Amino acid sequence: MSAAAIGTMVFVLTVVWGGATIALIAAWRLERRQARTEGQRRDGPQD
Amino acid sequence: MGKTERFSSRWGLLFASLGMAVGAGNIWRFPRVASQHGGGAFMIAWLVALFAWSIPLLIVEFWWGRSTRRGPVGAFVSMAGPGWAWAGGFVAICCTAIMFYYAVVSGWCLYYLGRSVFMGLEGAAVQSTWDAFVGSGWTVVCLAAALAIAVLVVLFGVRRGIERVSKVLVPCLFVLLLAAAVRAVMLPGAEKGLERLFQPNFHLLLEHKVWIEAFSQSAWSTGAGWGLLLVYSGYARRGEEVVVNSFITGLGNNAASLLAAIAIVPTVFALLPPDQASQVAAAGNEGLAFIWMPRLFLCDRNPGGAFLLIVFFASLALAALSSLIAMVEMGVRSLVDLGMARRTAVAVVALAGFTLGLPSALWMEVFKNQDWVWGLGLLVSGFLFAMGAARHGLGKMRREHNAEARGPGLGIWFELCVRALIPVAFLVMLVWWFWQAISWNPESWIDPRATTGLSTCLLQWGLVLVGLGFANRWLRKRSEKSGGPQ
Repeated sequence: MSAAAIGTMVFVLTVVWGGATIALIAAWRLERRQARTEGQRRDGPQD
Repeated sequence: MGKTERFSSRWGLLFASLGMAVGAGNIWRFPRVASQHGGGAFMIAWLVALFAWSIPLLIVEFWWGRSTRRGPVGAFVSMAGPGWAWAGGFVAICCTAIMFYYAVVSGWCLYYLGRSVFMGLEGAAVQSTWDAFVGSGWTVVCLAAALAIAVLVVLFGVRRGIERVSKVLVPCLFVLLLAAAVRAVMLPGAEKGLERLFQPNFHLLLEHKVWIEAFSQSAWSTGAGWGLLLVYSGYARRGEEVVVNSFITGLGNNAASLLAAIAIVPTVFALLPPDQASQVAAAGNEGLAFIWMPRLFLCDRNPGGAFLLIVFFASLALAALSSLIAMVEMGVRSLVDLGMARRTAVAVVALAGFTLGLPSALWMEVFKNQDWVWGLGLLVSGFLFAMGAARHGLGKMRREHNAEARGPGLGIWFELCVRALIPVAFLVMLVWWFWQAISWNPESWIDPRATTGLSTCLLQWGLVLVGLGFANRWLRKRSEKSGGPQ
């Protein structure tokens, strides 16, 4: 397999799988933030 | 199902969206088309198509579904205006027409999965097995089985049916594809297939055919413009994020396509001489999946091939079923929007799916005709979404989204894609595919009975569009009267 083909494969896999992984991490962080916000709203003011 | 039903979590919605997007086309079409049209050059064009066509349309669908909580007709009326009910009707009919023959494909996958598990297939007899199966009574039984599974899932509702099943089907599908891909690259000679798949013949990027094939594949494969994500996002929780979810759906779909390609193309090139390997790509979707892959998996040089064949058909069946479930839900949602009770709508879709799927199950020419007509119709659906979004106001949509978004905002790139790139890409693809229809049938393209002619396409679309034009006011009134789940 030529170096150029390996380079193309690495590039395509990085964009697709890397992009999907970054998007999944972003989704997970948003979900956590939303859960925290909802938790604070349920608990009400702490003082 | 109650009116207030929603997906229980973001992950439920994401798994369902991925199940919707990843279908048989990812497994039996993408590897074939990518290796036929330039490998690495095709991959680059396919990535451009993902970001220029598919993801912007997925964002439009997600936004519309979450905002309106309606099916296609109600969403078009709410977002584009009362004169656009016909456009929503076209999207719904196009997708439902695909469901009729896609249920047949799902049945084929189930049959081959069952046969490879319980009876085994003989490598030397796969052609005769296919010839005896297709068009036989078994295709009807399998059509009924596939539809029954999808209808049952939809009958259980969003949370207990679609969400629960997607959370099992989609991870299983990815694990099976990954296992098949790892096994394929370990075969001696697999690097020839990888070379074919990723060869950097970038001069091919100057050829229009590579771009058109890449955009067509992306449009058909990601589910963008089908209206399915619109329906699913109608059940999203309040405040569900639009951009991130749309990116995960598009990228996740392409990730599955890549795994399938890495599982299939190296296997073909490792087990066949190069000239014969090229014939496999030319054998068509059914030829690749039901004739060549069993033949290759079951040959003497592929130890453990019988088990791998089961893995292959299981992934094909899971991919097909998860998409079929979304299509059945689309039909049901559209009828519910017109005022029908959900259970009645499920029964109507099941009956229509079986009755109108029968001709495709029994006659391959009908199957090919419907695949041609409504596959191209999906490009029209995508274009209608882009036009509807432009009518609603892309700047307005961006401002509304960015004002409330907790995640990434929508940039000017989105507006540029929806306003300019998608309409231009649609026109180029449509003209090219029409030109193909004329070149395939130089003497009969005008004959509406020609399977993949130009006239049959224009006639069927024309009948639907004229009917919808007359019914526009009725559709709008029914849709407004029934409202959506709040």
